[in-house]
Amino acid sequence: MGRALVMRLGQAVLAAFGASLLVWLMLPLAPGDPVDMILNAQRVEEPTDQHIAALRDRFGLDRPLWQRYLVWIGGVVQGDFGLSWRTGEPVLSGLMRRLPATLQLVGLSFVISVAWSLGLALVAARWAGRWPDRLVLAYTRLLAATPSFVLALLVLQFVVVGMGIGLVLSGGAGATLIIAAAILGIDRAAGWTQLLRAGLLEHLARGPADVAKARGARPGRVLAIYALPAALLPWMTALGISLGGLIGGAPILEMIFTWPGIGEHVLTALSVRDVPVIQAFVLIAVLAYVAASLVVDAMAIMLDPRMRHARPA
Amino acid sequence: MTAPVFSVTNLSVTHGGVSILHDISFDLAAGECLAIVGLSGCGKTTLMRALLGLLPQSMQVSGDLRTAAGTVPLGNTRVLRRRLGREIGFVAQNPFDACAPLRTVRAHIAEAWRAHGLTPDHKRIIALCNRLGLAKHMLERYPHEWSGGMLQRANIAAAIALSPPVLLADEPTSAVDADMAERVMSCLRSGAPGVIVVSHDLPLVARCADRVILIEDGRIAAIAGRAELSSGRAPAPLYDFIRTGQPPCPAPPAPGLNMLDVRDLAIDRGGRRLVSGLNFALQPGKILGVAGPSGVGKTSLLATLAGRLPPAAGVIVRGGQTRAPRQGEVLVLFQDAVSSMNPRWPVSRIVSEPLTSANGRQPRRDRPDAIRQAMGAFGLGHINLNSRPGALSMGQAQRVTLARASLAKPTLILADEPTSALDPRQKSAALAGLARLAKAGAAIILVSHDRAMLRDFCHETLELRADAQGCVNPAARETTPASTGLHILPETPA
Repeated sequence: MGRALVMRLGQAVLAAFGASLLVWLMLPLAPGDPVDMILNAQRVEEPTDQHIAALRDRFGLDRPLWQRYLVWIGGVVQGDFGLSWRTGEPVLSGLMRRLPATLQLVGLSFVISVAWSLGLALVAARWAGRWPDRLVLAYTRLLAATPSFVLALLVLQFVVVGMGIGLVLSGGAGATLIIAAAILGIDRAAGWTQLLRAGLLEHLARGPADVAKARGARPGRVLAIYALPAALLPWMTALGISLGGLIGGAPILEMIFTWPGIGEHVLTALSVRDVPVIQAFVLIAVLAYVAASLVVDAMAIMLDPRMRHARPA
Repeated sequence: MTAPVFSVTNLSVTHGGVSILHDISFDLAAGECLAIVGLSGCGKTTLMRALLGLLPQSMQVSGDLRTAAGTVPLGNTRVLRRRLGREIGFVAQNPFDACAPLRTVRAHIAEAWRAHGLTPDHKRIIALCNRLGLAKHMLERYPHEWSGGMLQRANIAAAIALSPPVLLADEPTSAVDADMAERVMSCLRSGAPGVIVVSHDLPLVARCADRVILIEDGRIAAIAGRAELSSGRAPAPLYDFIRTGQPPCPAPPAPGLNMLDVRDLAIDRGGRRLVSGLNFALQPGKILGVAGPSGVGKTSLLATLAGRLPPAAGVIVRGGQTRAPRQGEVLVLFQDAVSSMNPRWPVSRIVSEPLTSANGRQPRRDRPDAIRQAMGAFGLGHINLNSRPGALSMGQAQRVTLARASLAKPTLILADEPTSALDPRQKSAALAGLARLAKAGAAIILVSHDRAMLRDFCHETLELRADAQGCVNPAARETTPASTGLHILPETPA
């Protein structure tokens, strides 16, 4: 088991390294002279030649590409993502001030969606083909087709304004956190519920479940002991994959609920092409994704004895 | 006969108004072994699943099950469930499919108790393992680390854990290699006072069963005891059923040139010598059977003859030259015919594929005739040529691969257990197809665990042994000309 885990860890480090290279390439591969982009971000209309030369020197733009990458990655490893083109302050401190609020939102919505889809899928599989199953299926189809910002606007209109629960301009109030997280989580849970329900039904029809039933096991026991662990494996992989989407989807909801997270900061950076900030945000999202995949792999290895060999057959 | 320990009365199953099982009643006496046989689709699997409460809710089940503990309506799964495991132990066909892959084998056996909310009796688990010849330390291992024969015995241990009076076994030996099959059968017999075996392999079950029930079209077509069966006094449908499984008699091989000559062949796999000093020759039309326990090198031998695995020593002479096989010269038939076909191609395209290859190329306009002719020759004339492999039965699928082989015109056919997934009627049809290919001039090597079939069908049988020494038993067929492969079959069938 240890060897398999170490191999996955090595793969994760390689993936993170490759991702950093791609993220960094965003700048040199972008059309146009970086200096123009910096000046644009700083809203300087008519720069002097000295100004341009100073910028080139300050951001190291006159050095060869590989040197620039090494300088950049060397800084990143030490937590230095450079300076924001727009404000001139260190990128990391700007992100870090807002990241905790976003992590709160994303973390809570993840917990909500995992619990929600797990519960619904178990209910649907236990009473497959009967009304609880149909209800769950109707819910998942409806929600899977609804973008989360539409749902958020509807909730804002009818729950927050209509019923007076929570605040329109939250500024970080707890009730808004729960509403936003629930919207993000419940919306995201629709696809996961479908996936887990299908997996549960598939494993309920397989040999081990049949044999357990033939030993006299109750349906609930067959579901929990025989179908659930086997169905969890692909489901957990899907969870890991869409964790990145969860982080990516948060900024829009943050805008709608005026949640003081990373969203507004990143959207502003995008609109003025503040590349260092975008690079840092993308890299943090990618690292979170790689870490989530690693956790999923580790859990799969613990759950499935057949994956404990370093090279599965 | 002693009083029945287990009786089924008036079991009927309908699905959407269609009757699947009709008024099935039978008893099982203490110490008796009852075999339930029938062709694929006759309803024997439905019968077994009805007794285990495993039928979907859309099927209506009626009838009663009576055991020492009282009578239960078979249609009431909730009541029936409390009897399962305690009154009926179940042994599934494929041991690997029966065990949850994420749990240890000990957990699998302990399920017998846990299913009923009881605490597992680990002393009893150890005692069962000792009785069935299982190593204690293997209990903490996972199913994929076990061998099939061992795991099937662990399944039996799980089935008899609560000492049920009756064991119900579904083809318990078909996924186990032949030398292990006897061991598994004896474990079954000794495991519980009464045993019900569901199978399509009558020769196998006839050796251990005291009584045989034949199911046809959802009804009991015949019941006979072992003595009646061997003395020829059993009802006629049973003998018809036995005859459907009789392999046909292939024509003798053409005399003359050896198209394949194997001299002093040795095969290594994974650094181990599997086969050494093997000599045999094949003429066109010759059918050579290959038998031997699992892992002895049967598949490696086929891979070597197909040119996929270089021989460690010796020579393979093909048509007078020592060379690798040419394209289209060797053709392989697999046990699972369906997965050897492209699932998205229609049958016509699968069958005619050899006609599109370089050496057998035929103009497009001639192909429909060739396809129809080949399909007709292998009894597939009624099949829709546009159907996909998934719509075929196992027997039809295997005959489609034979029809394809007839158009490919290979000189050597390597068949790896081509009949083991088939019921008797499908099996004899597939063997007839092989005999037809042999008559057309192909030499055939037929690998199987079914020694009775090899003895009856092949011109010669090659016995591979675990000590890496292969030996050919020539003319096995000639030495036992009247062999039927069924020792219970009377000399003059009624």
